[in-house]
Amino acid sequence: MTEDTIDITALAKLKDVIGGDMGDLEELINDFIASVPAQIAKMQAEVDNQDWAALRIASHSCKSNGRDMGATALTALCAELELQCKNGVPVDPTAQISAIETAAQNAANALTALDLANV
Amino acid sequence: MFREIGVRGRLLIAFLGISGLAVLIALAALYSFSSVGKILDGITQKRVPAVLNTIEISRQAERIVAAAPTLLSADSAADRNEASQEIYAEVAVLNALLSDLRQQESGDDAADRLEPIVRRLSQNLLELDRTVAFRLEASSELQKQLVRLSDADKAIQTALAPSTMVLDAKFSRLRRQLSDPDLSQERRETVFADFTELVSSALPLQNAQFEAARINDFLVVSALSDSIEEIDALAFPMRRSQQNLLRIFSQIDESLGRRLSPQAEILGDILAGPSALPTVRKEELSLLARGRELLALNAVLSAELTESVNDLVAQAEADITRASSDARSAQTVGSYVIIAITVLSLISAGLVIWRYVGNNLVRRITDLSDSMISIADGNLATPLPQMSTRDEISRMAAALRVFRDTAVEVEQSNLREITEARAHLTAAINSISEGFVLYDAEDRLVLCNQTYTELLGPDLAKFAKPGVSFEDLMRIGVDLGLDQAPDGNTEAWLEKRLDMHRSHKVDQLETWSDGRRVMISEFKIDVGGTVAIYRDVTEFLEAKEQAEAASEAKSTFLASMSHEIRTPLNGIMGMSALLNGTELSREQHDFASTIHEAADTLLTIINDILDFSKVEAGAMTLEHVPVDLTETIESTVDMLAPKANDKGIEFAFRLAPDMPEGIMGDSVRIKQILLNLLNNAIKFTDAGEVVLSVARSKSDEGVPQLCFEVRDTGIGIPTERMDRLFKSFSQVDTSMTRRFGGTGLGLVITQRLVDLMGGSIHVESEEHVGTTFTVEIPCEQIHRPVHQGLEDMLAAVADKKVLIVDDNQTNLTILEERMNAWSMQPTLATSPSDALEILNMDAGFDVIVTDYKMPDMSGVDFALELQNIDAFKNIPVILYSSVSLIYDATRAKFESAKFSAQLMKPARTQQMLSNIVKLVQPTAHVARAKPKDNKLWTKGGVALDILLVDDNAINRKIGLKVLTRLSHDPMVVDSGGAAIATCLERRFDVVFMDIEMPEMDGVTATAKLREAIDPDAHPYVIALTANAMAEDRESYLRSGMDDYLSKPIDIEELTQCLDRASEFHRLRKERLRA
Repeated sequence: MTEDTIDITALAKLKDVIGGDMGDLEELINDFIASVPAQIAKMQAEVDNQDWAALRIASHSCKSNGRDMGATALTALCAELELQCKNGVPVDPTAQISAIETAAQNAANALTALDLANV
Repeated sequence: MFREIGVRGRLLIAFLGISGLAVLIALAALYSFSSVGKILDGITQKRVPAVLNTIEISRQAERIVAAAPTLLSADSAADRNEASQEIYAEVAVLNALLSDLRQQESGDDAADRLEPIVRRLSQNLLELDRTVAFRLEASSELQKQLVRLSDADKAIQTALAPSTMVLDAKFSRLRRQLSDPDLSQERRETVFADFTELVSSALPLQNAQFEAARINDFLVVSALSDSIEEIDALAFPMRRSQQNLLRIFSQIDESLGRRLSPQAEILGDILAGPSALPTVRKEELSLLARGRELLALNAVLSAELTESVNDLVAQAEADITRASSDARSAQTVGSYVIIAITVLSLISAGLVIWRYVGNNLVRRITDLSDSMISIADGNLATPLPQMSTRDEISRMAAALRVFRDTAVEVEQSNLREITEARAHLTAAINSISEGFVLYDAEDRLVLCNQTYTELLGPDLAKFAKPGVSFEDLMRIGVDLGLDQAPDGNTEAWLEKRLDMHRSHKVDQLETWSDGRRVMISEFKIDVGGTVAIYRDVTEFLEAKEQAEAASEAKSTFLASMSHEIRTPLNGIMGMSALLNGTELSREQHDFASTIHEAADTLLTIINDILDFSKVEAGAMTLEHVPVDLTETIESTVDMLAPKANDKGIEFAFRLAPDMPEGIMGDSVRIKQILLNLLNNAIKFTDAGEVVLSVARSKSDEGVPQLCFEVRDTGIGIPTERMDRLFKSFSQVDTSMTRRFGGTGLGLVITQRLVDLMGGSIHVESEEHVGTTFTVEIPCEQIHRPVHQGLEDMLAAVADKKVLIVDDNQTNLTILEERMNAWSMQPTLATSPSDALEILNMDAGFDVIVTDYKMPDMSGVDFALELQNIDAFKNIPVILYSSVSLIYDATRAKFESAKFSAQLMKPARTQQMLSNIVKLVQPTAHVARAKPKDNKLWTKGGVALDILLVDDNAINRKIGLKVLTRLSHDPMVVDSGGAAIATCLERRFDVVFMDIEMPEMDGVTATAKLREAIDPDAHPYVIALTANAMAEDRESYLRSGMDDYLSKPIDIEELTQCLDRASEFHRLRKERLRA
């Protein structure tokens, strides 16, 4: 597992918008990390159901979270999946979801390793 | 003739007389002084010196006389010389004195008397001198003889001496022998015999000696004798002695005798010779006697002189005494004369003053002045004093008489005039339709007109006669029951009425007991009285009340009607919005939109009418709360920007740098005013621009004011219609109404609002050129604390170079001003080609802001140009344009232009600033306002009930944290369905609706909400979307969302949404209240 490059400015903005409290930020980051598995699972289920509209919304959601956390790779992958769903049928969604999962893991690692004081 | 002399003449005479007397006094005094002076002169100048002189002469004579004996007793020539010199000197002095005396006045007589005496004295002295001279000769002769005598005597003695000695010796011997007791008798006899012999031999010698001695003695005595008789007496004895001596000598020893005889001869010569000693002595004595005689004569002369002098002195004394008494008498006389004349002049002066000036002049003048004063006082019938004499005063009296007569005439003619004028006035006063009463300074009735009398009614009117006091009249009125005391408390009412009368109140309404209502105005007049005007306004008031009632009824009707109308209208709007949210064809979509718009328009009209009636009824009240001016103005501008953009006209606003950040006021009404003016400007402008300028100004009295100016390049207002501009229901031109729509109420409401705020509105316009509306309202400035974030942002952009490209000069100016205010360095270019030239010269720009629609090259093309040039392609470019225009450009072209940011015209200040900050300093911490401060700026400061709807857990948490930070306490749900359910249970002010949700997306949920909930209770729905696409945003708005907020959430935009939500609610509350 490699680490993802985290966009510090995004985290900074997030921290700022919620009131600047480092504790709050840490809470959100933890929530995010914790929520990843559920989100992946949901997405996969939608692929299985071929519910592209739902998948679109799910990937949009994941993209949104990723962006807030500064997980750039994750965000890009989710955006791509969302766009594909919007336009019709996604290309090999499973693979995409897998990539998304990896990216999410990397982001989680990076976030955990991050010294929040620098944010 | 005497009568004609007059006051002046008489006074002159009197003056001359008294002066004359004064002169006389002076003359008398002078004469007295001068005679006394003369007398004194006589004494001092004439008599006294002369007298002194004579006294001096007398004294001098005495001195001479005193000195004379010295001369006489002179023993030597030297002495004599000395003495005589002295005496001659004194005599010379005496003569000098005498000649002095002669020279003096009146000295002649004295001199004449004294001179002979002096002369005799001189002669005396001369003789004395001679006498003394002779005496001295005699004396020296005498001395000579004495010396001869002495010689002779010595010779004789010498001759005789030896013999004598021998004899003496023998005698001694013998005597010794004789004396010897032991001597024998015999011896004694012998001795005795010897002795006798010796004696006999000695006897001749002794006799000679004796005779010689005797002669000597006689001569000496003679020489010393003082009396001639004595000398004569001695002559004979001396002769005898001499004879004796001769005899003796002849008897003696021959030799001896021979030796002695010449001596005897000498002696004889001395005795009786030519210069015989006695003779000489006798001569001397006689001379001395003569001298003494002369001295005596001197003394006599001196006495004589003294006597003469005494006489003279006595004379002088007498003269002096006489003179002194003369002087005294002259003095006395003079004094009497002076006193007499003084008394005379005093008396005459007194007489003049008393009799003439006092009695005659002063009395007459006093009489005259009394008469004059009396006449001046107005008493023209005063008797005038009669004057008999024909002097100045009587002429005055005559003049006074004439004057008085004239005054009497004038008075009479004045009285006639006054009577006439009075009649005119009375007629005039009687002709006016109001009751008129005049009270004098003592509050007494002077006059009243007929209308007043009628007003009072016959019962009271008969008491309203001149002289009656105001208070009495009122009391009578009360007693007659005519004036209404509200609770029977007549004293209090009277008190009040009197007070009103005295304080000269104007337009006081009274209700009288018979139901009439009378308006009373009382005025103070200069001379101290009061004028009261009475108007029966019963009818007027009734009419007014009726009108008011009608108006009120109208307002109530309108209010209720408008409510009745609005409810279904809202329904139409809601339904058409919902309809628009469903699946519709293009055509159906248009129909639905049209329905919505029409309903919206109708709603606006209804609101206008409502506002107008509220204003007319005076029921409009203004808030007095903090207003964020920038926010208020920018949000208004935001609302209208689309309209302007649609018409293709430039729409810009300029906030002056010195504009206050905040004021106390009513932001809703300010917005209303701005909306109205801007709306009109946009409405009536087809091409060009509409510019709003806000600046600080001062009123005439120096009160700080806010000045809003809306300038457009529209069709303008014709001059003949300008005055109807602010009148209700009149539009400038009915054709305008057809063309442009509107109720015609907008401007009126605006004007009323401006009036309510205490401001002023005026307009300037020129047909086909444009119109400018200016509104000035007094403002109470308040401060908004500058938050840290703003400072940081300003620091980030300071001194950055920005290139602004826009063909519209107004826009350039506004942007330049803003950039300058932010301490940036703007450069302006009116076209992209200009901009390129500038860039070629200096590529060091930090950011470029470009307009889109420009004549030569569009903003997109310009940006594409820049991308082609390496030097420029990295400079961030902000597209500053209107929303609708972005749709013109093709998507692809737009994207390759690579704009770093897009801002919609007109952009909010904060927005533009934060965008620029992001571009020039990407890492900059674009800070937000502190939540605490935000509270101040939330409209109304009221907490909102917020519902947050999002399917994503993390997003929910973020949203919750954000809203909590803003001191809100939101409810959070995770789906559209839950949102609807919750909204039905509980009333929310704001709903943040995420769009991308599974099962029911945000749009659907909102539509369903609208359906389910009464429009008046509907929350303000804000779409939360990650879609930055403008067209999507617009579609949300069209589909029934009230607002949108993009993700990730920007605190500022969030607060603005919340502010808009608050405002929305306030407006709605207002509407519902009305």
